[in-house]
Amino acid sequence: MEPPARPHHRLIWKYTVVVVTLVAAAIVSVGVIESYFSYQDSTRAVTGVAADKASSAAVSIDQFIQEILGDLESVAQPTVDPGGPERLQSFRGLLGRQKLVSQLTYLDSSGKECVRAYSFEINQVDSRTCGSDRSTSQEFIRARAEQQYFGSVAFDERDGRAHMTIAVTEDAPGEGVIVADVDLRSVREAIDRARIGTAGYAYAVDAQGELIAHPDINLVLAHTSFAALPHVRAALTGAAAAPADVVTTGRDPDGREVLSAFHSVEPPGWWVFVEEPLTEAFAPIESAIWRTVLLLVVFLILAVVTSVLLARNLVRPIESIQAAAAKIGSGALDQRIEVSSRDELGALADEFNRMAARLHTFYAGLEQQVQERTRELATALAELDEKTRELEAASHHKSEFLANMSHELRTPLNAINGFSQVLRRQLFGEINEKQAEYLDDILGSARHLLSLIDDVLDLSKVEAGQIDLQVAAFSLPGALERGVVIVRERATKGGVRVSLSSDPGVDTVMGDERRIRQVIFNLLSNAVKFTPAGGTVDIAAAQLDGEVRVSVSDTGPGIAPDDQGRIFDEFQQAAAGKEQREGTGLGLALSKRLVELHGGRIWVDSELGKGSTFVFTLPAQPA
Amino acid sequence: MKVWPSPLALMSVIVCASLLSACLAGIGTSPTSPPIPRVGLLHVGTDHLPPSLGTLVARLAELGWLDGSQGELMASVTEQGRIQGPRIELIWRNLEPRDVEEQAREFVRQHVDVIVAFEDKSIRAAQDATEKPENRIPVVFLHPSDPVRDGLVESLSHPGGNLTGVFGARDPVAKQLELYQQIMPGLRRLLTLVDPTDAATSPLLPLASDAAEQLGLELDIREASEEADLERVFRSLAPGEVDGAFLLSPSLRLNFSKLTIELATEANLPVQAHRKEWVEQGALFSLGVDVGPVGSAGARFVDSILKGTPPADLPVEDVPRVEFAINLKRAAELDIQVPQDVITRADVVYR
Repeated sequence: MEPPARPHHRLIWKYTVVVVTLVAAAIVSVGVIESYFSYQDSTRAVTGVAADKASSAAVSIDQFIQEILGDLESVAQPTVDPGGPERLQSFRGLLGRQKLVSQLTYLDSSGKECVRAYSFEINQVDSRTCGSDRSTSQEFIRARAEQQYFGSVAFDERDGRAHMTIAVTEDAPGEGVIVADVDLRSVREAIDRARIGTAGYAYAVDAQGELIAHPDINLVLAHTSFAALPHVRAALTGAAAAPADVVTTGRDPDGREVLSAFHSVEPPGWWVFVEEPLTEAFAPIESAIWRTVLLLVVFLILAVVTSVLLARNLVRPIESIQAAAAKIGSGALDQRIEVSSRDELGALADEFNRMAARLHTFYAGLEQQVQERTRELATALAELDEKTRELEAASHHKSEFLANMSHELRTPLNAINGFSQVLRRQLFGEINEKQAEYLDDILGSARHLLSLIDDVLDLSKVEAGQIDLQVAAFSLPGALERGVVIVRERATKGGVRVSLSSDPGVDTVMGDERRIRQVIFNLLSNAVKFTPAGGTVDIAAAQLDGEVRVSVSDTGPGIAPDDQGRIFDEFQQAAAGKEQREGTGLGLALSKRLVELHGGRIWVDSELGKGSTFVFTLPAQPA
Repeated sequence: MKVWPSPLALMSVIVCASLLSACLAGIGTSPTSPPIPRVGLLHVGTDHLPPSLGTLVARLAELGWLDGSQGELMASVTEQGRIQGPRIELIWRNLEPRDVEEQAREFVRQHVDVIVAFEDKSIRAAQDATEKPENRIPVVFLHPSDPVRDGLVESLSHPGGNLTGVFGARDPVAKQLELYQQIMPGLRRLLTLVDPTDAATSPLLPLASDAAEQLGLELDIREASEEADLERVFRSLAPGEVDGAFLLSPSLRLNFSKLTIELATEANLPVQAHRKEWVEQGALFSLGVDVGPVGSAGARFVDSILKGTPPADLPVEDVPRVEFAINLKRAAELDIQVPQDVITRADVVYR
């Protein structure tokens, strides 16, 4: 029985899935862990840089402020005449040293402007006359109250520069106020230096969140406040609690997410913010992650390809073993499996090959034997054929010989018969009783011989295939009757009663009427001949099973079972026939041949001492 | 059965192939470079180069637009009239006054990305050429006399138009007079030379007069436009008529500093200059603007504009760097006792 076909690719996918799963799990876990840690490291690095920048910018600004404050302290020493030339000289000295201070003013204790000095860059003449009253100005009031004052950033439309006012009180009993106009270029430069990357920027705000320095000077000039930005507000309000520098994320005024590091600048209470858009800050990290992902994908593809190839390498020997087995199974016994691997599969293939080789050897032996036997059989058949031909030729010769002989015998016999008859009729003189008796014997013997010759001739014609049946429809009852008429005389002489019975259904049949009559006569004369006086001979015809059956029964001595088979052969007679010393032994043989020529059968039912019934059949007349 | 290559060999082949394809992909995907920005540089005065030009190209190189040292770049400017950098092209046009307007229009026709105009004449030409809305090419001006007064910008903090730039050539006249007086506390009467043909003179005159009034100085204002005028003025002076000489008009300082120093020496008078080189040559002192930072600042403007900032939003910058040089030897010759606190303020002292 054919086994159900199974998908043969299952093994390869099993291998592939297992290998890919293992490799993918390894690669992905390594990649994810690696990415996580590198993300952590990079984040630390990025935030570290931002924090460093913020703190260094804050330190720069702080240094600048401290420097300026130090300078102002140096000119805040009390002088004998607060508004005198000594003050102006010290102012000029400071302006010569400190280029970032462009203007110095001394306000006396009543808030009047008494000394004013300008740097060389400011094209104005210094003055030492007490003039306008600035006692209500912020710098005067707040400097007096808090010792120091830091004003907001202003832009000088005359000379195009950002500056701010810083004021300190005089140390002395006079308690005047020194007001300095400070150029913020240093702050701006510190801010510019603190920028990170290409999109990053830094800015400084005062304690209220108002911009002091920003790359976009217009925002500073517009006194923009960043106090509304959550991360700025958080820095300002949590100033006390927050550590010196912190990295956080927030949104810039345009709503972009930024990484923000800030640092405070004491004493003015400013804050420096260093910000970088997250997209840029994390771009290296992102690209590293993408690189990792790309590598992962590449290695996964490699893993898939490799595992498929590996699986193919594993599966192909198995497939080739399977294919070879299938071929061997379908009869190609010289098929061999080629597996070069030196492993279990190679051993399996070798074993398989040995098995196929042995099978091949057995099969070849078997085939040779069959061939030999076939050859012998053919020889025997040829011999048989030869013999048959010889036999046929012999039989033919025999028949021919018999036909010739019959003819040759008949001619002298006719002479014997004719002359004997003439003598018996005493046409040439009287003959005595003894002569008459001998002549009768001669005549009887001649007739017997003649009939014998006729029978032999007929028989030989039948065997030689020379007999031609004159087939025509004829009345079987009529033929039976004529047969009965012919034998009646002899039956009556012998004291045998002959009866005829014929079924009404039996009528005309197809056949050679003369030959059928010959058969009927033969059977009737045999029956009459072998039936002792007082016996009966019955002839009957019946239609049965598509054929017409004619039976001739007698009450004669019967035929021994051994003889029953022989009596239809030529020159064979039953014991009774031999005793009778009458008959040729050819009648039944001839009858058999004639019936068979008509397509019928003939047989005998008999038992010793109980008579015999000879039956022959003829095919019924087709309707 | 086919012989299959070992997985290791296959893997190495695949790795090599992917590396190769990655390299090829890298070559293939190199971005198509955008057109190189062009900057037109406009200057009037074929007899000299503006000092800020050198610092301008040097700063542009620092900002990554150009490759090479300042010397190499300047050689390229003077020899070829242009610098063809990998990321920028500078077109240098040093012109006679009559040609500047046509050249400014030519820059507009060429659709340069930025025009850098040095000094008033070329600034005005650039302003005129870019006045129409369809011609609004950004202009960076260097050394303007007064951008607000001359209508170049709406205000310094917000220029508002297509012009912005850097100050740097303004004369600190008041400070010069003040310093003159500090050096020579006895200074009372000052020979003040003005060139009526120099347009820069008239705005300076009131500044000088105001300062003089505050300082209690008397300005003896004399007009001179040529060598002969100067000679005539100095020769006409009576001894003790003035205490010193002062060149107010830039044109006189530019063209006749040497002559003036000679004439003043002849007349035993101190004279002020605008550059320390003249102080070394015999002027008493100079309080002049160092124009180097102007070029550097101008380069920053070009950089910002090329990177997309509209000039209207770039406040006009002042990069004041005033240099004070004094010649104590000359002072001694003139028997001037320079106060110590003045000497300490000097950036350069010649002894």
